[in-house]
Amino acid sequence: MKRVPPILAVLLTLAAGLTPLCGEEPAGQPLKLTPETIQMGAFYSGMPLRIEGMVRPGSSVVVVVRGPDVEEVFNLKGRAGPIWINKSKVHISGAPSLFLCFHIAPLKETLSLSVLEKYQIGYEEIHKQMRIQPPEQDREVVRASFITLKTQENVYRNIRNGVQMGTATPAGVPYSVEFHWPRRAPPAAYEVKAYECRDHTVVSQTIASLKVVEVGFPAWMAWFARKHASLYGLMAVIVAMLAGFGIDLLASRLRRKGIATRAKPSPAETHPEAAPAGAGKGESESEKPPRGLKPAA
Amino acid sequence: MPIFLPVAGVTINLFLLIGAGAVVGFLSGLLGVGGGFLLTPILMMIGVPPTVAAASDTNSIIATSSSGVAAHFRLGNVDPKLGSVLLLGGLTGAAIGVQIIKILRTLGNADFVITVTYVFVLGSVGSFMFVESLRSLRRGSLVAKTSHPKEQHNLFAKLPFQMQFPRSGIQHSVFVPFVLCSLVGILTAVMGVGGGFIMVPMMVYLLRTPMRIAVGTDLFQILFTCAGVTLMQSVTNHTVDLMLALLVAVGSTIGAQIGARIGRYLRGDQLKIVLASIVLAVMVKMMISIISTPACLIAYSRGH
Repeated sequence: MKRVPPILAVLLTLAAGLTPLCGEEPAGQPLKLTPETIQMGAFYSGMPLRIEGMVRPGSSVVVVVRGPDVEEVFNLKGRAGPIWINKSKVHISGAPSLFLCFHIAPLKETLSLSVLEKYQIGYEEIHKQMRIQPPEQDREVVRASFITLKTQENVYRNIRNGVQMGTATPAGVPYSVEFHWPRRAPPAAYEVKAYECRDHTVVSQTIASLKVVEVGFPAWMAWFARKHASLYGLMAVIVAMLAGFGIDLLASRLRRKGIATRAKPSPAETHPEAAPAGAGKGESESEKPPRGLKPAA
Repeated sequence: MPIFLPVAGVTINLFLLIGAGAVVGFLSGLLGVGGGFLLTPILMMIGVPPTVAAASDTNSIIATSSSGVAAHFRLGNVDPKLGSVLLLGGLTGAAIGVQIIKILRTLGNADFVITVTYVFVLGSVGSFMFVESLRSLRRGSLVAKTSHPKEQHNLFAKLPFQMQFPRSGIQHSVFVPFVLCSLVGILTAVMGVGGGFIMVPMMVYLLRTPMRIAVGTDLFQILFTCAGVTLMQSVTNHTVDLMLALLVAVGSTIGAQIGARIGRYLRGDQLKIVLASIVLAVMVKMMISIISTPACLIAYSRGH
């Protein structure tokens, strides 16, 4: 048997290590996120987000934004006579806190089922990954309700025609995704993945990270309420009391000012000679109690 | 203009919050009711979680009632002795109420119990007000029903630890105001209300306190009971959103001023019917929400 030269063996090993296991080609241009960090300030209500990238001509694109997997506790409602009450608790884990999927054609037409499963794209894959405790719960009802809840909150979305393809250039075909970042998405590090698809398979993928962070006064207040609950409670009481007493002070000053203005003699009373004929007869306005105020008992 | 409420964890339009406070404050100024019992369900309807709505409403009541207490104190309408006994009762009840909420949250039924309590209380108060106002309208005028102010309840007179309350001109066993106010304190914690709509009639009809002293003293005890509840809710349940409370308080103060001015030109019995109708409408809306099939069978549990 012919011996392989050591240098060739090293090169072959390196080449094998660099070749993607799934048959993907190396990623093209990196994803561009605008903005790269979302700041939750006092007037935060979500914000517009733009994702941009480039693929080769003839390829399709699926863009997935995924939140970290979290374990959440839910109350499961059930009927008790005519009313709906919380009957039991369910722990759901293994599902992402956010799942936004943007594509051009229907997912099943773009990628094969095995590929969707491999890359965990689509609600059906989330269904499969989801773990429910206690296991005796009606799993299908819980799963469907979970997706409904997350969809209502806009943190789970599956948007067809959500990717806009640009005009082809020598470098490739640019694409972009524009949407309003859901305000209910909690602060976390989110993963943005763009899959370049061709012939029902993924030929390359690019990844970027999106950070959502609390900033400013709301961040401080949420932290203060959680970490220093007694001090926060005391502050809430004192601030509310000061606000109340301040309002009372302001109201009584305004009232006094209003009374003083009404009680101020009119030019006709100060200069009777300037008053028109008939004025000054009978009860003057200043002698009457101010309108709306009862006379002192 | 949206505003992010850090403790509630939701974004709500700033003007919607001030407007909700203003509407309730307007009714409060117009009709002379506290309004807390209307504010919590309205906050719940605009998307604030029930536990946060109830706790933050209690916080906002501190702002509105402290303003009222200052005015009543100047007029000599506050009985500090009676107020202190009521306050002790209120705080005891509030401590029990906060623990009830804590247990219910762990069981996952706090929001449900708050809603059911509201349906029951709003239904009772609304129906009573509606019927009473209708009778007043038929009679042609509002007649004060303090028919036998000097008559002592035999049961109350026999109780131990009788105490004189000179400012109010009454004598009672210390247990009577204490127990009554404890019950109101539980409602304060569970529903996030000041309790004036229950406490003032109780003081006038059961304790025979003069109306003006009842209003001033009730505000005095509400101020401190709500302060206690706010502190307890902050520590135990972390559900007080100060930003929400202040925005609502600003709205309700402005609304109360407008309501009080307009109220001088309108008839009381007609206004009472309007309020009763609003209370009943809110109650019906809440009842529908627990009877109709929910769109989603799971809801976040905040007991953990």
